[in-house]
Amino acid sequence: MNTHVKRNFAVILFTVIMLVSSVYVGYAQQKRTVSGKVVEAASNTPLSGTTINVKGTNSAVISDVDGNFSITVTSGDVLVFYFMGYATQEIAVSNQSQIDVFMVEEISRLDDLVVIGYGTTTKKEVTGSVSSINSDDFKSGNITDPVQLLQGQIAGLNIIRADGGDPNGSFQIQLRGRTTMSGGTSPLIVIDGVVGGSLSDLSPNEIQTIDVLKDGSAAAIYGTRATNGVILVTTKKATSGTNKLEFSSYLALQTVDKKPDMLTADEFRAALDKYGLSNSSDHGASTDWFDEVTQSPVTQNYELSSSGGTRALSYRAGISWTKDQGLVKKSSKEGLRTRVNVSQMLINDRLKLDYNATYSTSRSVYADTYILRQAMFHNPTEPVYADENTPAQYGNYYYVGAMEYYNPVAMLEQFDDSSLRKQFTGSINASLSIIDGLKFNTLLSFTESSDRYGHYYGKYYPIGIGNNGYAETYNNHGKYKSLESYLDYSASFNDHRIQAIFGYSYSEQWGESYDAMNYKFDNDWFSFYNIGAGAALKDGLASMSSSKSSSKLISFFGRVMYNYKEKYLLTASLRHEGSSRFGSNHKWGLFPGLSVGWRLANEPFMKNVEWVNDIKLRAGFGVTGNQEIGNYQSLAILRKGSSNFYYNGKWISTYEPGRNPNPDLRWEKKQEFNIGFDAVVFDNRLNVSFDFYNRRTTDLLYTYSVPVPPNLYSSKFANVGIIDNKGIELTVSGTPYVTKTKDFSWNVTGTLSHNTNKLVRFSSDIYAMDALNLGYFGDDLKIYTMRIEEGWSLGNFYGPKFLGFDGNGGAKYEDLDGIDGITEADYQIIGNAYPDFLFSLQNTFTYKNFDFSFLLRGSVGNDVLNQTRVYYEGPAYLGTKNILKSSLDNDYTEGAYYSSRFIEDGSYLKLDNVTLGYNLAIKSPYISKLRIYLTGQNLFTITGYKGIDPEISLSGLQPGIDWYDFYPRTKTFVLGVKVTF
Amino acid sequence: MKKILIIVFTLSIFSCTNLDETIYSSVPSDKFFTTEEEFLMSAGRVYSHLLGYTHYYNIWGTITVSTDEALSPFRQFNQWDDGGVWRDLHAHTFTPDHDNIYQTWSFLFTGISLCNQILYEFSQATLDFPVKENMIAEIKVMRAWFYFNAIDLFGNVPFTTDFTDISVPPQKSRAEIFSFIEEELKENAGLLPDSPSSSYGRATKPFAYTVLAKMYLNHEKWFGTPKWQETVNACDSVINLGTLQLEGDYFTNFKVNNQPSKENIFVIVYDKVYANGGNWARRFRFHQLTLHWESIRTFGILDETWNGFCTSQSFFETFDLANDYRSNTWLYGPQYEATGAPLLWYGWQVDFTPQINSLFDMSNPAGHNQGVRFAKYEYENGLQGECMSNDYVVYRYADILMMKGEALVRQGNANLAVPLFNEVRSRTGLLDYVASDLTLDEIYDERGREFAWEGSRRQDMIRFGKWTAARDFKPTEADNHTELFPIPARARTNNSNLNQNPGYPN
Repeated sequence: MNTHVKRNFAVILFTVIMLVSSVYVGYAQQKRTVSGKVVEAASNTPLSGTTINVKGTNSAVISDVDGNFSITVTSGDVLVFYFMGYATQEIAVSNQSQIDVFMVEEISRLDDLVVIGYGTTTKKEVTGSVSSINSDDFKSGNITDPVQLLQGQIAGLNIIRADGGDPNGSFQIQLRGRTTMSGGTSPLIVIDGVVGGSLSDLSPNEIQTIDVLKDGSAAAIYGTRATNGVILVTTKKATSGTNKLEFSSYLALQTVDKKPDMLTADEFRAALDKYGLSNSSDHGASTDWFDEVTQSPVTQNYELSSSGGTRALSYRAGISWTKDQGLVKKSSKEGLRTRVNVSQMLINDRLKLDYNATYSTSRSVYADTYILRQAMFHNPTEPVYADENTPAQYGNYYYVGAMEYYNPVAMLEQFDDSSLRKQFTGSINASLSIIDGLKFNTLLSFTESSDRYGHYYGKYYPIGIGNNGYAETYNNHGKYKSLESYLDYSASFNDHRIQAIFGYSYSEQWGESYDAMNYKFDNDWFSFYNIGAGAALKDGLASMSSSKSSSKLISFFGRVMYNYKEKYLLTASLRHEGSSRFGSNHKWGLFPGLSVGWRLANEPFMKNVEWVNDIKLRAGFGVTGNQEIGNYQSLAILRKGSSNFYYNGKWISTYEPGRNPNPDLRWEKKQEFNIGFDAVVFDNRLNVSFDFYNRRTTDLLYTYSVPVPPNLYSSKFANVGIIDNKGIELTVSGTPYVTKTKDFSWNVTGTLSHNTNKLVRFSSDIYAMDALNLGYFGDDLKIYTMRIEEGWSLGNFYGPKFLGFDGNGGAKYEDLDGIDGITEADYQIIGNAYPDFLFSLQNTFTYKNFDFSFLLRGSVGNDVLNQTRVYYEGPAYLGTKNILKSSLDNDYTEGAYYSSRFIEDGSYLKLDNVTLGYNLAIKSPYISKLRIYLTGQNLFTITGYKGIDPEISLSGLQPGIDWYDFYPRTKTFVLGVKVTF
Repeated sequence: MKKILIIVFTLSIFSCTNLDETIYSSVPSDKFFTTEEEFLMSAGRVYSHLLGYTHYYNIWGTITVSTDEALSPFRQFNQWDDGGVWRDLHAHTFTPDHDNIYQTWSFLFTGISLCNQILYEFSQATLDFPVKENMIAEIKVMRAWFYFNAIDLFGNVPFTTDFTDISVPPQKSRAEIFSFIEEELKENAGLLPDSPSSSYGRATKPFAYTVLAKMYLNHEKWFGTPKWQETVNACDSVINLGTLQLEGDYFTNFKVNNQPSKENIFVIVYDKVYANGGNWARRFRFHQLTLHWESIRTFGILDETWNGFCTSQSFFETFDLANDYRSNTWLYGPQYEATGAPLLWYGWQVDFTPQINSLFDMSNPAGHNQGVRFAKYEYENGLQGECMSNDYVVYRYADILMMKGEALVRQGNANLAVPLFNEVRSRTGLLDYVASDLTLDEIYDERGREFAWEGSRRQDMIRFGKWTAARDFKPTEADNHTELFPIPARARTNNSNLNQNPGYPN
């Protein structure tokens, strides 16, 4: 038998015996003090900060800087030595007075804590599908949003920065496929127990661990908000007994990865000749419009954090400042994020208080992606600035009058668009130990946020010339209060271990907004900072609005976790939850979760299978909901009409019903079945996790087209459809090579996921829908490129199938109905936007003080519709507008027309992150650690895709369209440093 | 254990479970309708709904672009095509999926549902006020007008008058609904005011009789049996009120401030401040539709104009440019800035020519300055905000005189019709008619010149048998099924009771 397992078994057995005896023996024994020293086994150096806890009690101490500790015990107690990343040790106290412990760095991490919402469990005991990463695994680089840390790390969690290299762009997170037609799709974020937080307001440096509840049985405890999974973030906490200051900083330089491949001015002139077009389209200049509107961005980041204190009172405080420039000129994001955490122990350590306060503020300057589109197709022979023929009203910018054709430099220079965002979150968590094993926990939190958006179009902004300056400012205030209270009971009886919670949760949120618009300014000086100055206000043409809304969510929840000999595991949970958003007929719902686990490795018949360290089979079922449907959707309300009624010579207001009310409106309901296993084999060197899931969402919400009359409006928001998602996830991590001296190590982690979805139904007797056409291309074409029908997968491209060119450059299409000409009857499914597989491969090497890691990420089988090619590959627009270089590859003669010719295989492999780090060996009383690193991000992409980047938005109902105003990604080079004092 | 129970109990007691929504920025429906003013504010929606009428993506666009009056060719440098909706309308190649036709359908039936709902609110009211009965009559007349348009465009349509009936309405025949409209108009006209000026922009007696006159005028075409005398009688009901008269200057009816017009029977009241539709689809934007990009300097317009809609060469050529004052409906020939300087585009003077290369041909697109433009409505100097303040004229007194004249001619009483036509024609500068001039073709052309872009042309073309004939970019049609528009596919998806009109794919 493997010694490791033997030892573990012995420890467990011993613990059980001790527990049993302690129950019987009670507290009759004599109290005394033992002391000792905790030493890191590999380096033989003292390990400070180890928690030493008398098992089954609240009595605990922490080892000091020299690794020393002393603690009051009674004979028969068991001391538990815990340090994150090291194997937890339990040592029975008999009559020793000195206990020295060597902590061994843990590879298997079976005892790592896993956060599961309203409590924790251990990795070996967890029965749901839960993935975790902790700060040691975080990649470095220009990482401004913690979501980036998860990209490519967790199987089944697909994260895309859909706005390319836009510093203000958001991340799209999709877990296990698309489960909704119109509801929210982002996972629920829970930061230190506070539900509904915003990750971007937290510096990645402040995060200790991130746990992701993936399957329904694990997520069900969060009820109506959990369908898209739950991301639980645990921030770094105060560590008592230490006194640390950490400083880190990085500088990132970016260059554009790939830009649209349009004709240069000379090629443009040659093309005019080739197609026999009049040279009146040659304006005589040579301009690279893309270069005119872009820059080489620089990003800086500085962070400082302190922590320390005593066991009774400890603190941690951090501050971070980042300024991120964007590729498009003027665009940037500058943010300050601060966080303070104070912990206090009272009443004989029975009461623990945790205060958390987070304040973040950021200023964003936005780039209008319409500028990029204009720059892409702008005629390269036009000069940027006015000549003598330019009419005076266009200012200093060269002007060509054509429909929806505007000078991109004028758009850039004459437009200010920025926002200020502030968010404060304060929380207090009190945990009171009532009797042994019974705790009462209450978390009160308060979040307040404010956003101010403002934009100003200058006098010479090319759209709306004549407005003489157009200003708008929009303010949004949000408030969120919540109370989460629960009782937590845990106990062991013989071989039975039980942990149960029961609680109540209340949350309420408010939103207020104010908006003002005015134009006709005397000059451009004010921007939007003197909005009353515009003359349109006095003319009655300015506008003003404000609104307020609120919603409530109330729930009762409970969970029981039970295991027998850590072998047979069971978790059952139930949440009874109601939301004010739901219709009066369906205010409350029940969300059960049940999962079981069987740790095979603990069975006697596995004792002789030495290469298996641990193996656990899991199965679970859970029901979750999606309540992201907006406020007041179910109610009959009247709103003020936008136009007045001319009644007897006076204008009086009009009032109209807000919508067709739907008192049956309710949450989307997802039922998910998950089976999987976790295996640890070969001396803890190989970990394999596998999951299969089958999730069905019913009562899908969609805005249905309904007959008028009897309805007042032609649409109604109703629960009708069903979507299925099925898939597998595989995570393999291992240590292929270790040297005895630990000079060199190599860790590798790979993930693979596959998902298929099917829209089972989206119409009923009342709500009829044959098909839904989506992916609308406006601008001349006015065509739908995607279609959803019952029984199909979502994300299908639908159109004529391209068969090649005839001899004259004319396109040939498959004529399905045999009737001459290509009509809608000839359309067919010509692609699907969703990938067949997503995978990632992370490698980390350490050699002495060097470390090196790289992350490859890829996607297989995702189709991309290249909108730029639809319009600009071919001569249709040549003349007024520029076209793609690839237009010259063939003798195209036809205008823009959508077909499978523009649906491309978007499979890709990306070198997402490469980091080379060096930890300086410093023997200084002041500096304990110094690390410098170099990171490259998005260094290369291997793909057959002809556009800029095949990694594009997969969220929403029209995924996979590479819109022609895409903000290109950049290659990023980062130099960073981290010092600990 | 006792402790636990106490805590659980306490938790439950103090826990709030009230999930009612608190409304701040709207009014709950059950807190409204407490005063006369609130009833009026709700009823007024019928008229703000009408603001959508003139939009090119609505009924005006559908009934105008489908005639020879207007087209939106695919132009060089502009390429405005909207996926072919305009050419399909103009060339009569529309199908049940045509978006404009659906928008038109939607406009009419939303109007009907709106009237049903307002009438329901009135029926529920415990409050009494002096104008209540009149308001109810007014809404019923407006509902009749929506139904009139619906049977005109689509023939047999869904029918309901009861807002509380939530079942999908049955399709009723054009004839059944005709009778309903006829009765509603007759029954309720008496409760409406005599003069449009006292109840400006709303349903009045002359409006109700005008709709009735139009119903009778088209009766022969729709049902095969003429109702010429009923047409004459309905027109007389308007004439005998004595509240209307022709304006001396034709264009007075279309001025920015056209409220003083004594001729306009029913208008949609636009105002760039109070009635600008509030959204994209409900603005009166003829200036944007038709004017060249550069024409803004002719009129001092501050909005962007789109250089799209124009009239066909054949229609334009029915105008006697030298003598007919109404030719000023059009902008044609070389264009000038407000200062008198030539209006230049790229150094070339903008010159609107009647000839148009093609409706849709990428290799030979229409030129940017081809097609004569519309300027019947005065363009306001300094116009900004994408909504003109002129009130859109739906019906005017000249139509009453000419409908009566036409009915008389069709009855064989041309002599009686002559003074009616000449009353209208007297202000044009053209020679008076004599009885022998009044052929049906001449009446058709004269109606075209008098009512260009006023929404009358489609009915005229159908009634005079011109609808299916070949014209500028449209060949002769094999049959006359396009005289009714197809019932939109989307409407049929939502209401399985609806049968498609003949000649369209089912």
